[in-house]
Amino acid sequence: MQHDNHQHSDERSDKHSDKHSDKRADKSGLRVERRVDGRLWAGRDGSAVPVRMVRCFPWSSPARMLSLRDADDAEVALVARLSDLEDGSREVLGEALLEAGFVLDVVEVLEIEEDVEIRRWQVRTRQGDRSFQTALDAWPRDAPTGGLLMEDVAGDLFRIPPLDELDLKSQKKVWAFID
Amino acid sequence: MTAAIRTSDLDLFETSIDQPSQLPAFLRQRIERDWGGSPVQMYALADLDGELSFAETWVVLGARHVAVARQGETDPEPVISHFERSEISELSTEEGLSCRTLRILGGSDAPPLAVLRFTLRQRRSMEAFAFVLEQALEGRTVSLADADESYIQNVIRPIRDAQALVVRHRLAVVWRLLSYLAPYRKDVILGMGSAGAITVLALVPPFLTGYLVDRVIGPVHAGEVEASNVAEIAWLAVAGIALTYVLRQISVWIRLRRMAMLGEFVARDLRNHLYDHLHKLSLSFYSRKKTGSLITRVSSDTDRLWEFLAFGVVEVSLSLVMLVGLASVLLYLDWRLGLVMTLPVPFLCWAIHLHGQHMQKLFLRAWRKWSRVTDILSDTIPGMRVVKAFHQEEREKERFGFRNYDVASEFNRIHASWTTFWPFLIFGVQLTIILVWCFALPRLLGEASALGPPLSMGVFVSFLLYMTMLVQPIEIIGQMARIMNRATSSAHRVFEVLDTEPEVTDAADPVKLNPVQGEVKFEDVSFSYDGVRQVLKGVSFDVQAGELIGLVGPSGGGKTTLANLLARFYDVSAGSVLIDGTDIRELDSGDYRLQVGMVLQDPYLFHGSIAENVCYGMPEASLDKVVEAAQMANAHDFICDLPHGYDTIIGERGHTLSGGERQRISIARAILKDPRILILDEATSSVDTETERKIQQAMDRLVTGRTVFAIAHRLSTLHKADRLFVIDNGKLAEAGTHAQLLARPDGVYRRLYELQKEVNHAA
Repeated sequence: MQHDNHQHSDERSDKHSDKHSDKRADKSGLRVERRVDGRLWAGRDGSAVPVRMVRCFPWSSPARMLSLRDADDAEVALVARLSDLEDGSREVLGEALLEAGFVLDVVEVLEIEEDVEIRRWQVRTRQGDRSFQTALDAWPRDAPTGGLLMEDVAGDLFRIPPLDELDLKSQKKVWAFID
Repeated sequence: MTAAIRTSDLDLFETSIDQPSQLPAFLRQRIERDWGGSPVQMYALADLDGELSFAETWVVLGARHVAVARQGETDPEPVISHFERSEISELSTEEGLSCRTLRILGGSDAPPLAVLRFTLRQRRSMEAFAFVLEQALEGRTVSLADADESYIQNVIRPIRDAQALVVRHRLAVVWRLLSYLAPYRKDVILGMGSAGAITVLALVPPFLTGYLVDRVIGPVHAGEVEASNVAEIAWLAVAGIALTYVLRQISVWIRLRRMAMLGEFVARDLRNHLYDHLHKLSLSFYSRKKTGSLITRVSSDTDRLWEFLAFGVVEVSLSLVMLVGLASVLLYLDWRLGLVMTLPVPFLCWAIHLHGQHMQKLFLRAWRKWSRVTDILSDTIPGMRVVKAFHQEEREKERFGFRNYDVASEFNRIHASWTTFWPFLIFGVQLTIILVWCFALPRLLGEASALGPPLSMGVFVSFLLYMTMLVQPIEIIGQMARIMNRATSSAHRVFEVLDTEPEVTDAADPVKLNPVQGEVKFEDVSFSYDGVRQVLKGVSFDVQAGELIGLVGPSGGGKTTLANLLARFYDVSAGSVLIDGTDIRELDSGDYRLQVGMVLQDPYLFHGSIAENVCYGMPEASLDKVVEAAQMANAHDFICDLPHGYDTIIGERGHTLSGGERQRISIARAILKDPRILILDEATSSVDTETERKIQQAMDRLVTGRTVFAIAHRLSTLHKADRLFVIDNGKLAEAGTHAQLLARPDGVYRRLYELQKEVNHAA
């Protein structure tokens, strides 16, 4: 299973970031927890609201700049780095990141066929075999963790590992898509 | 499986989606039994488990219950849990890259009733499921389609949007394409007959040449016969060859002419058929497809089909006939040498086929890189002002240079491949010729051996001539797959449009309202463009004929969608729109739209004169009427200032005019049409104050005596509105006069009004 997020730590410096928002999380204030109803709750000073986590840079820096937003889409907090949080909150958000960064991880390419307007792929992923379709002009893009990401017509992402991590047959099949 | 499901949808599902095409029958039976016979109304599949591995969890909706059936890892029997819909307090969704989680909550201090994780493939069916529950929580009932059909439709929708084909099999597509030849049967027979004659006639000269060598030249040289005795036969053979050439060229002429024209007729018919159908399709189709792609289908795809029908079909079939003919003649003349020549042919064809496949990969790679080059061009050329303003010329040049170098390398790889392959192929043919020489030489020298009896010079000369005819059909047969692929792919693209059914269609016996009075009623209207996100949610209102209604509210709130439903560009997802008490879906849409006018924020003008654009909706309008409409639209004065007046050609989309001028022409167009219901969609935005004043004056004249829906961000432009409807988040948040709405202390309108007042004050 590929969790395309905080395994890939982002060391980009952000010297000015602390000045930008008074909602910026810090170790003393924000607390995030997963409550019994299964939702994320965030708040300060004992008051908390259910929130959803939005990753500001889901591709380039998936574990940085996490916006926690309430039901009205108002930003409750902006977490610059997980390390800004106390242990419990960090763990909760870390788990949420795993789910948010989930993509289907291809281990073998079985077939790629061109059809009208679409390309049909049959792949073996870590989750099992899957067939999917991409637009003919949809090309893969670089994945932050290496390899490529291919988006199918439904919006699902498939991570194709670097060429040398694939078997020879798969390499031949995806050669046209990889530099 | 219900009869409502189209076979093509089911076929597409089963060939594309690796998951069950319906709720398993035994599960449905068990669930319905557990619910005391209450039927399944809707269901969706959650295909991920808590560990984010593939799973099969069905969530099933009944009138009073929800069931969740999880397939266990070890136990083949699914675990089914039920809860009452009345227990649901809230729904919560978390969104990830390829994983969504839907939590059905019973309360904030209780564990969730269900947690469903799914990939985006299930998004539509899951969101439709969630929508029904959400609406129920708000006290609304959503009318549901057949459960199996809606599940299949929701899952295959992204593929359908990308590819709307009914006929999927390649051979069926070719047959369908060939059916367009039916009206031209006579030409087809003539063209194909000529093509057949060309092939047969091509085999004659080498045969006669061999005959001449063996029966005339050889015996004369050997002194076996007198030249004078065989001169007549010799000249007859030469005349035969000449006649063959003449007949062949006549056949070539007939074939080229007939088939070229025939192909053109078919392409014309396809283009007409396609263009007619494009006009029948709903706007939703145009929002799914790129304009460029549709233009290509009408232009270059039909052109490619012309090429295929005019030449491809004939070339391929003739090459097959030619190869069979050649093989037969060669085997007839000398079966041993014939075998030497014909046995390598399938291998050569196979080599060409493999090379074609390899080239396809190379081209794919090259086109991928080519698209990166064109991406930069389509980015930077329209955005050149920004590039210059930010002084990024060097960066853009470097970016382009890198990609340009990259694509050139890929194309050179292609050149390296074909330039290597073709000499090798020709060498392969030449090797066959050498082989023929090796087998023939001992026999030509008169030695009877294991290779066969002595060979006559004439037969060998015929062989040499036939060998030169071998290369072209081999080349065509080897490329047959590519030719067929190109043609069927173009045919598919054309048929895809033809197979798309309009989503907005007229009833069997449509009602004509002559004239439309202008009474409009929305009854609990909900609408979604993509079948998932609800843009309008249960909107209801009543508008009397002749009322001027201002539609206001935040951007993206649903105002334009409401206008689209009013013009019946789309049909409602739920509820109904009534015009003069009749459901809009029962009206004759053409007749109704003749009585509806629209002035849009970005008025679309066609290439042509100003006069032609003003009377676009009424081509028969007199010049007096055209000028009168332009005067009322405050357009007459600026038109008169143009050197060619009303005959000024305004170019594609009216690009030679300013935004305000285009807008006034579109108002004149609406005035001339004299609609009973008028929709003004942000008609005065993005123009300067003076132009706005002129447009406002024109609109004040335009709105008199008809029902008007005016969408505006600048609330000041709605000062004459009888009532204002505030549309916020897909709902009718407030309705009333300006004064009534301002009187609401926490009202949306009041907030918007005060915000605009502040902005105007600051300005």
